Amino acid sequence: MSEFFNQYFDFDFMGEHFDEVFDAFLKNLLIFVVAAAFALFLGLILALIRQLPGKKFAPLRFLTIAYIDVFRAIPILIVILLISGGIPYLEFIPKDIRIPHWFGQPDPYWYGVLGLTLVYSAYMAEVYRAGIEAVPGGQVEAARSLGMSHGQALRHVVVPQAVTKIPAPMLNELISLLKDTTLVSVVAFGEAALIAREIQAETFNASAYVLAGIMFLVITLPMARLVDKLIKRNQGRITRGSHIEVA
Amino acid sequence: MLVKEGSDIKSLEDLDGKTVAVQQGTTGQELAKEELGGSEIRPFPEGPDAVNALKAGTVEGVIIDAPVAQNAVEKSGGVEIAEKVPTEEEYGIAVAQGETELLEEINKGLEEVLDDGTYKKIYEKWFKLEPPKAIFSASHEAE
Repeated sequence: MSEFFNQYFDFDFMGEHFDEVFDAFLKNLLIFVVAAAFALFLGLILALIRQLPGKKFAPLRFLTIAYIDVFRAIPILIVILLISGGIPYLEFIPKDIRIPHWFGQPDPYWYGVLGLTLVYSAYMAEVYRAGIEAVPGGQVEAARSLGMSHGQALRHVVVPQAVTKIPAPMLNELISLLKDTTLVSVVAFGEAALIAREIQAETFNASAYVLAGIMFLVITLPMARLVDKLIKRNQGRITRGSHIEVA
Repeated sequence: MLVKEGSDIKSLEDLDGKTVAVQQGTTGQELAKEELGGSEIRPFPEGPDAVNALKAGTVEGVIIDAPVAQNAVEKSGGVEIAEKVPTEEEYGIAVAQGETELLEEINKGLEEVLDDGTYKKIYEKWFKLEPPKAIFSASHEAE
């Protein structure tokens, strides 16, 4: 049994390798922050385009739905491998864009960010959509009957209500995204999973993995608790605050 | 040391400061860490992944075992061996502690193929070279 603790919970070992694993973990955070920003933005655009009413916008809506379906269906690992394995060969793209070294981060970083952004924007678009569609249709009717235009109805009635339903599921997506940043290890980017693996290969001790896992926990556990709190607060709001009932 | 065909990187020194791909956990990775202090070293899960990165142009050199490199030159093309870095490495066959019977059988088998010419035949087939003389005179005993 002490073998088990030595292998996985060797605290002296963790202390020795702490800086190494922590520096690598910061790289996961760096992937996370940039990919999250892009995905949140792109997801919103996708969700809004998807909502555009009328026959005129049908092709756009179709394209958006196709994008969302495709990128929710393909495993992220394959997306990242496709990007890193294919884009460098597309010679018609200038080399600085094809093999980016922007802001001091090497190309595998950017391939990882791109892959995560493409996939998570699809999931996030669905979260936005769920928020928007959760607002009862009667709200728009009521707003219109009060004389508001469609745009005004959206801005003053729909969006404020939709916005309350988005943070909780969106936080779940963000927790997922943070964990999925470890997938970038497959394109040889020195993030926490890769570094922990190297340490294990050199020392035959798995405590580095546990250390990396703990670092993720420190961030994701509070996020998960926050999700629960948000959901409870939102439910309270619904049961207490709905004065607007369409008879 | 593999580079793209036609590259002007000819030696290990030329590679210093440039991006290098290696296979994770190999002696190639160690060599790269020791000799190429100025380079960004990218450890890939498998050898072919490192070679792919070289062909794609995301790295400028690959440090990997000679047979793997040779295979890459022949099978996938577009790459060439710039320098053969002698590392004085030896291959070993490891068995779990206490597996003395297995160890004896392996050593016996090695003696046989060394003595009857099979080893030479296999070596020449895969490496297209004569096996080094040291193999035949080295002690066959292991602990």
